[in-house]
Amino acid sequence: MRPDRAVVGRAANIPPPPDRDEFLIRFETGELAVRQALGTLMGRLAPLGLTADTLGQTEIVVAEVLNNIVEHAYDIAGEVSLAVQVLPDSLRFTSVDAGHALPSSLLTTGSMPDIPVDPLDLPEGGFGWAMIRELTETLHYRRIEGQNHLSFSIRCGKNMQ
Amino acid sequence: MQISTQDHAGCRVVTVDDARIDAAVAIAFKDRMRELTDAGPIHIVLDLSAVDFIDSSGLGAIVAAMKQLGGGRKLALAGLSDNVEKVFRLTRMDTVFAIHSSADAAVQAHAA
Repeated sequence: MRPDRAVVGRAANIPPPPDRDEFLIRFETGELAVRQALGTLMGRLAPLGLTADTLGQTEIVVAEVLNNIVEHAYDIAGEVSLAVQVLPDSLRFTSVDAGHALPSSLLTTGSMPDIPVDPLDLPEGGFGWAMIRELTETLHYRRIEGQNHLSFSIRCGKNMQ
Repeated sequence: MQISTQDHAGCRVVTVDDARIDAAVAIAFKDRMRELTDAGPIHIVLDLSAVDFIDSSGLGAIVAAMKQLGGGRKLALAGLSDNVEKVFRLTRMDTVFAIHSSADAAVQAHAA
């Protein structure tokens, strides 16, 4: 485990304008890498006055996107970057990895898994992409020169000043 | 993964003391739940009041924990934070589990 692996791309001593910001989080896949990257992201978003609802929504979407990369894109390990753009009314993200291509059907088809009559038949997976689709405003995927680029945005609510 | 249990009349409360049930701990959580619920009361209450984040892997592990109890026993949830509740609502898993506001409320419900 390398706790210093998740890095923020811009010097922390340059204060960003209050409602706009841009930064890059990069990490090497590993057991606790997604947790650390999320910690970095949420720490960076914390002072922006976003509602608890927006922050909760953001954390779950980004967690699902990064977990999918760690679990499915790479066979062993690899590098992941997450570009974050804070705009007045939305948060925009682009994740980039050099793993296997994403089956693009995941972006458009399928809803939440059905709830079966017998709880013992409940699915234990398939919720991740359904939550990503449900909670994002836009979701685009491109495969460029052997890399996966997944762009997504989340509409943000602000606390009253 | 920090998990503790306490037995009450009619139910066993399993308390998660970690703040996250996510992909990093989902398998450990499921295995630990199996050890802690293999025998014992019919009703299990999973106290999530210390948990502030679960992802789909964590959710899947809670579903797995319920399924490994088998048909005759029940898993109820208690003390869901807003973020955790949101994941259950979005995936409609809130319709599958009995959800109590707190572990105490769940214990009272099962003692009645």
